[in-house]
Amino acid sequence: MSIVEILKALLLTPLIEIWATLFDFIIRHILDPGFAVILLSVSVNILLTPVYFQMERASQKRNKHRDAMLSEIDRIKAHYKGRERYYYIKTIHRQFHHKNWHGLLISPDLLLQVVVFASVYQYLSHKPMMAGVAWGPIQNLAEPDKLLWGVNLLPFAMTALNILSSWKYTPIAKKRYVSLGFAALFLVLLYNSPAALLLYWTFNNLFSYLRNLSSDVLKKSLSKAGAAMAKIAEQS
Amino acid sequence: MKKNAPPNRPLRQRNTWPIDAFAAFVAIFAMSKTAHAYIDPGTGSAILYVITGLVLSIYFGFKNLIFKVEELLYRKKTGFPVCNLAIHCEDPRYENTFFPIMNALPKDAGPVQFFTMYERDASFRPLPDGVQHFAIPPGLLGYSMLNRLEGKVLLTTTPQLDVMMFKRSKKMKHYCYVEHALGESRFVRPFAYDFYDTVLCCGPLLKNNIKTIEKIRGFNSKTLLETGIPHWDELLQAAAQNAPPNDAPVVLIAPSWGPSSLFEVFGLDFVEKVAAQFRVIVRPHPQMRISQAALYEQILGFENVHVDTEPTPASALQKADILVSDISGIVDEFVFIHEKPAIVVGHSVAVDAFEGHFLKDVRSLREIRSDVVMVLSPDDFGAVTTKIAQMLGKDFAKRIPALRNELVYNFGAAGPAAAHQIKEILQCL
Repeated sequence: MSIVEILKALLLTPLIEIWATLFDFIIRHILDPGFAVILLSVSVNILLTPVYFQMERASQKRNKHRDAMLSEIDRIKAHYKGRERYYYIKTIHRQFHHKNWHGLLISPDLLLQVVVFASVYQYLSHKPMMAGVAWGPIQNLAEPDKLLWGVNLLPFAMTALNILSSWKYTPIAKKRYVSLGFAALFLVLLYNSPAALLLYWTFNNLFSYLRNLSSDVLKKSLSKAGAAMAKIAEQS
Repeated sequence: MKKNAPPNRPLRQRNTWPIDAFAAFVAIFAMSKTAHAYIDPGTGSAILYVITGLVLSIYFGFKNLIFKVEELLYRKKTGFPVCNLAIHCEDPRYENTFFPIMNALPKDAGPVQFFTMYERDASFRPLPDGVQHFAIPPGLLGYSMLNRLEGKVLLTTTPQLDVMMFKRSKKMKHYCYVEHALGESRFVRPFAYDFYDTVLCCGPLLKNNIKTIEKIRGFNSKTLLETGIPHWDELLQAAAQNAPPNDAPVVLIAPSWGPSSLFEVFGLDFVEKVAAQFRVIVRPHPQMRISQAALYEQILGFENVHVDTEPTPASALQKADILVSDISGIVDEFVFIHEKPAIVVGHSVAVDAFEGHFLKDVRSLREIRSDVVMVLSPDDFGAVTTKIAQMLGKDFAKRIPALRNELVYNFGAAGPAAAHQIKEILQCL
């Protein structure tokens, strides 16, 4: 058994089993395959939401730490060169307990995302039930949608959501351009994917975008409410 | 359920390697940036970050290897004894900081080993009894020797321990830094004090600023002792042998050398303008004789002006009633030891490259002493004669000692204070 097979057996197979059970349950009650894919997408997201929120908090903490370090390194780079710059950056790494190989580590939240992505991909890519199944204007869920005179529409819908998400959640211009570049890359990579997979992925992205949006609104409301309470307490 | 094709055919027959490869790549290398619940462009930037990390790791690893090899090449057997109190003096100008400490160190504190990065000949001041002297080479080779010294305490005026080439020796128990001027940790280079065990602070400003930076960086806190400026002890003693009061105010013009010195920036004409109103002593920087020989000759040719070329500025400082300069070290000595005002000409210096980056909200030494040391911007330099007259018209008899008490620990007794503190450290080890 190769390492890839062991990893697959350990990480992907259990999740694929869960997705299969979930999808079978959905399809038994809702006989519409396209809608079942959408519901699978929403259900997976709902199931993973608490985990993602927990990981997002940890990720924010890590990012804050990393940004502080990078800001110090930028300051040093702006003023020093050569040997002096090298030693100062080394000391900044020491200050932030950073080792060069840390950049190669995979973080838990991304690992989860990758595993979920890979398992859903594996599951939907090898699902015979979708073959030849039409859904609405889509002729075959197992093939690219070809909705616009032979051009695939779903990859563009997914990309539009990716662009929207990049625009809203990547405040630094340089990083935003990188995100937009990757949105374009995803468009190319997934353009010829089966409609079922893109349907799943587009709704997955939509759900995540709406969840982040509602989380922002909630945070703002709570912050406003907190400020109002503080004002009342001050006045009394 | 609407079906257009028979079931049980695999969903896709086409080649899926791009996505599989991409997913595998992500799985192996990726690092988080955002936490959205899908593989999205944000994650893509994280992957780019990982690739950058990989390239940087290789780059840093390679550079580190070069510096390690360089250090190894300079490594040499030292053959020095196990030290009790090792004093490291990087340049002859710092000896005056160590003499008051060595002289005040009680015998029971143990022997002193004095390491200089230059040779000491008969022209140097003799070392106190019992102090062993070792000359080590300057630069990398000398630091390579220091980095493997064995002993209890190493005392130095060189900042940035464990940052650049000056490393902690595994066999030296305690590293101690002593200030050689009225510093505030504002214009020193990054990590100046962070890795010392003890800093003998010159005054509260330095002590508080080091604490502020310590909190920001989160390094282990150092022992910050209230010491003072040892070499001021001797300057004070010399100043006490007072010259007779002047019958007319004497202005000492003692700028730095190089392209930003007063003489380079404003020319020499202003000296004659000042001399038309006051008695003037000009003290050109000794380095000017070597680096700016033509200008130095012009200065020597001044009429109606006394040009002081003595080896030390002590006599000129004693005779003057006010100092005009562009460097702060001599200004602090003049103001706080001779208790007379000064004018400093210069722009405010940007601190982003220095430790002052973290002290932007803290009142600077320049601001605190502004009523006894007037800061004149180069744009206002045309009015220097008027400003000298203004400063000479003020009474500083109470203000300067009061300010000095605020800024300097153990004025006139810093050497014995440092010696006592070092003895205590030695006894604790």
